[in-house]
Amino acid sequence: MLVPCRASTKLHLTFSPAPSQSPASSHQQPRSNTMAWLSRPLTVIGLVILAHGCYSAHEHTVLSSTSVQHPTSPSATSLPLDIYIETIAATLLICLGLVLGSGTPEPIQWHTWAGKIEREGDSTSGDADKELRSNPFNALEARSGFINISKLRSDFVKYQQLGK
Amino acid sequence: MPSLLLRPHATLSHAEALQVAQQAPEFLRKNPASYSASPFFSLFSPPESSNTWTIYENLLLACLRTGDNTTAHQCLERLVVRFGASDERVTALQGLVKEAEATNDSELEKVLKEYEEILAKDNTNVPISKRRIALLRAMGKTSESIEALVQFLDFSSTDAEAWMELADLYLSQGLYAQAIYAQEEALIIAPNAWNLHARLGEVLLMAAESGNEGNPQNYLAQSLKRFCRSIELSDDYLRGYYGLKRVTDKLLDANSKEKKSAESDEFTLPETSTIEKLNQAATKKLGDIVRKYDAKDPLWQGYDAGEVAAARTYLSESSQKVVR
Repeated sequence: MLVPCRASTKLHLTFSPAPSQSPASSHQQPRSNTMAWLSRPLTVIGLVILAHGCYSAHEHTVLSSTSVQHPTSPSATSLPLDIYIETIAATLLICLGLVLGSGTPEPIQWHTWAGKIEREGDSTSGDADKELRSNPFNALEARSGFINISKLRSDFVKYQQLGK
Repeated sequence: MPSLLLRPHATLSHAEALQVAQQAPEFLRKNPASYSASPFFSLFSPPESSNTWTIYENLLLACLRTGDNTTAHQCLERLVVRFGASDERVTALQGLVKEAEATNDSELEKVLKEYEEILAKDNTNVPISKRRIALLRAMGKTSESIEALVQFLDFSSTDAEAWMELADLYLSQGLYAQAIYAQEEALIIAPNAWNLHARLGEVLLMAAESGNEGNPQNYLAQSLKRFCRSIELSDDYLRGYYGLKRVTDKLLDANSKEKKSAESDEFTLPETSTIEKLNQAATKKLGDIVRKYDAKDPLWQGYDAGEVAAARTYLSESSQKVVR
């Protein structure tokens, strides 16, 4: 490989663990699938725990405001530590579930992104409406502003005659 | 296949252009003839996006190319209704239709006169200026076309497309130094365009091979740099690797023949061992690409079939040389 290029690109930050090499791209798919399977239950469990934490906090406030003799004392109004821990843990669990469930991120390194365009072209992409999946600089070589239509026309006629 | 409709028309092959042109009547039927500006009507009409008008323009070009003039006029009419007949881009498209329908040189001359009349009123009309330059070139008046393009770049010097056209015009005349200059200007405007880097590498290689002017060794060194940059910007770029292999082969060939170093100029060649490494890397990568493309790997089907075939031929040629 090109040593200088590799060294310079290491400086960039990337989300995508997939380098351009072929083996990585082929075993990427199953990995993300198992993660997607795991993400749904994790998120649900996190939501349940979070709801439970909120409910506990609510009950605790109601109880402490009615039953305790001195409601102004700070020890009585503050929540117990386990409710804090429960809430934080639930939030982290939900975050983890959502992150695992999101699909493979698009490459954010220029050369990876450009390489993907070159390799895959625009034939494989399903949602071509969303974004144009071909080299955006091709327009500079095609030069539509300077198109020579009469030559294209006569070439097309020749092409059709060849076809027949 | 909306992606085909959105691609710049000039990059399409004849078969693809035909495919696009065949979709034109359906697209015209599906979309309303005019979009209302009132928010009430826009609730009931299909959404209008910028892509819609790009598609109309591409359909117009495809229909003209395939000789379907009636559909082309329908597309043009929609564009006129939407943007008005005095819009610069629409005027240029109207001129384009006239160019396409012209059957002889005198009719083309008439179109050229019309362009010049428009330019007499407003000499910074970009689309019309471009059409005039393209028409001059199509009519074979290359030197006039270059002159007009240089004047155009005087007032619109950040137009990378125009610089590329100038480079192409110079190249068609064999003026390599000028072509390289224009190409470099385009790269200043679009420094991340990996295909432009590869293109410049190709032009430099051509200049080195022609050997008319300048130091070929110098051109080769620059060309090597450009190809390296293009593959640095884009992994698995077939054109970049192909050029890299060509240029390193040439350099290694020259090195083995004569041990004359060319450090007289500002460009010094890298070490022979580095060039050899680059050559090996390019050979390996080209082999990979050709193999994966032939194996119908779904993630590697974006390459142009012709380019892959050229790489295959070149690889087999160079491996034969090694065997000998």
